[in-house]
Amino acid sequence: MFSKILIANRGEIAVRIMRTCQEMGIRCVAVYSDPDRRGMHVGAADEAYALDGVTSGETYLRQDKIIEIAKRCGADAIHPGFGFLSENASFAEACAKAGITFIGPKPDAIRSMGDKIIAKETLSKAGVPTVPGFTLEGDTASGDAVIKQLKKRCGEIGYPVLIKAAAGGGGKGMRVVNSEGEMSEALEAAQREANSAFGDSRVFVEKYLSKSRHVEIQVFGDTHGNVVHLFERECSIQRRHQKIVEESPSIALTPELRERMGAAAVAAAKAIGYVNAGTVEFMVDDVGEFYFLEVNTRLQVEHPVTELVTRRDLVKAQILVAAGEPLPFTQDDLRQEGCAMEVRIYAEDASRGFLPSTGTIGVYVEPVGPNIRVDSGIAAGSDVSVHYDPMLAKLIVWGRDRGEAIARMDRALREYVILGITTNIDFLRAVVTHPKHVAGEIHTRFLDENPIAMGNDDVPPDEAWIAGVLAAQSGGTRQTSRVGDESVEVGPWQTAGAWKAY
Amino acid sequence: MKVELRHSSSESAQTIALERMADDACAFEAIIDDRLIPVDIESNDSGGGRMRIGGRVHRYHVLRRDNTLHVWVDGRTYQFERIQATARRAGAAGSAKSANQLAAPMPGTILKINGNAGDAFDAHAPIIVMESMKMEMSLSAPTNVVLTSVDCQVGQLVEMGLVLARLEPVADAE
Repeated sequence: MFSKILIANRGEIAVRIMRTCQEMGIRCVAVYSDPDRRGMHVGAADEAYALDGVTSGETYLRQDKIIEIAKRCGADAIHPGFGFLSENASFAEACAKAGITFIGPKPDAIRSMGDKIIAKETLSKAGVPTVPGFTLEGDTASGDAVIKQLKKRCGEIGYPVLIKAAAGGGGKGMRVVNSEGEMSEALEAAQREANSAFGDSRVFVEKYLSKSRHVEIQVFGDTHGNVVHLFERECSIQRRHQKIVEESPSIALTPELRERMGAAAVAAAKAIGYVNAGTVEFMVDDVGEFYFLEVNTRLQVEHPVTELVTRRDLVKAQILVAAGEPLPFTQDDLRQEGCAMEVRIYAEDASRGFLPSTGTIGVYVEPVGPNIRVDSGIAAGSDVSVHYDPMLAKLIVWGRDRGEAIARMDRALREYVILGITTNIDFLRAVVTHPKHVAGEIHTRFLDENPIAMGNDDVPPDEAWIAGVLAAQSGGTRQTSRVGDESVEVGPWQTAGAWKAY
Repeated sequence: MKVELRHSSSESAQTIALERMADDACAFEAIIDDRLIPVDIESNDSGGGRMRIGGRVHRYHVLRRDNTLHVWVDGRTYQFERIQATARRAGAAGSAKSANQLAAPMPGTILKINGNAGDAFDAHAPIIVMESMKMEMSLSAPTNVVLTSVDCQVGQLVEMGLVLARLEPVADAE
């Protein structure tokens, strides 16, 4: 087993991985950019080393710096988390070359599945149903000839279509095109965003299945030839192709469909000799047909949902498998119990077109109680900067059934306090408690068809005005971080002066 | 003490008086809109606490950043501005702008500028594309406009509110 793991990531996922490392008696190493010098993940680690730089490109994407630090501090493995270098085959290769275990799949699997075009061809050959579409010829396709070719072929498969980045993920480099007229601009934007996010501007086109559900299967393979699935997660509530609410089980799946999709996902994983945690994403249409979307060769943001319904620690299984041990569970060991739901807390202003919100968090109080989990990368005093993804934390709840999970989520969101920057907490509550969401009538266009009015335009109640006076009286620099009723560590950079009314 | 507050999203304003009763550390009287409201306030050491108004318990947290007051009460957040005598005069003059300019709605990086000074844009045509937190957004012409100046460069990191370009509306041909 490893004695020291470097976590090549930041924020909530780095903290979450460190928790498992510490439970396994493995020392964990944080790396950090200049703006993250006082980040949560630095404080959660046993050792922390600077990457010297500000942007992702200067820091968390710098393979050379990260491997150098790993060698210097004697880490025997690197966990990439998600995003950044997690799906970078050359990084996995560079780790192997440096004698460090990359906690994830083999470079070949990352490379073939990371190219969405090759992935689709591979899985199609393995007999997994795929969405109709085509690939643009040429590496950085642009110009009138390409637009013409595009329009002709899109006309054949029928609008709306979706332009997707070959190297895509996280909704970046993705654009819906409803008609010919929108093509040029959408293509350009998708290519530019893809290039900025992945350094690869190749795109492909698929028919946009507008009212379908997004259902993905968690798969896990080991180096002993075992492959299992850990059931599904439904992630149909999305905004701009970013998942916002995820749950397991999906109410759209009958036991028979779950069985078929699980088997298809396992077959897909076996076809590519998949090792470690992966996710096979599908669209499920209203008649229960499913189509392959892509394979994510990493731990997913929404993995806690699976952890809560299966009562398994996926990061622990990742580490065991990476160390060459067999999977700690067989297919028969796995059960899906109750209902888990996750929401993503973003630093964004739902009443102003979801503009990212940046600044320093002043007050931070997490919800508590049975069956509530918060995976957070922030505390009072944390700076939310423009340089990284706006996801701050994830709130995950478990209930005996979906109704209980929704009621618990509503209550937990009501208790969640983040002051100093604007977050989507109010928006999430409105989504989760929306009658159609409660009824399970969800699909990937849910938010387009059920616009959630945000604005808080009502005149505030008396207690809010009175609290406003208390705020006016308060000191301007205090930072408070609490979990429920217990104060948690407040960093030394904060002036934690107490204040009382008068 | 007496404070005048404006609620940012509803733009309603109130003058609130809050006085502590002499005989009790927790008992206060608030006056809002000529209504006298007895309120019990217990604050904790961390900028939050609870208040009771006529038997109803409300939990709150507060944060002040200069004149901007962030308030959380019972699961909802509110933002107030404290109106002060000097700010009241400045506010009136400061608001009549912005139609003739394109300002950064968020901090971020300029990715693309679709023209130069003198170019005309139809309403809703994207003029500047910027990126923040790895997501793109277009800043479009509010109406038919002519670009009178470009005040930013591709690749520039800009603060929220920075004026990126100046515009002049063009009258409709009809």
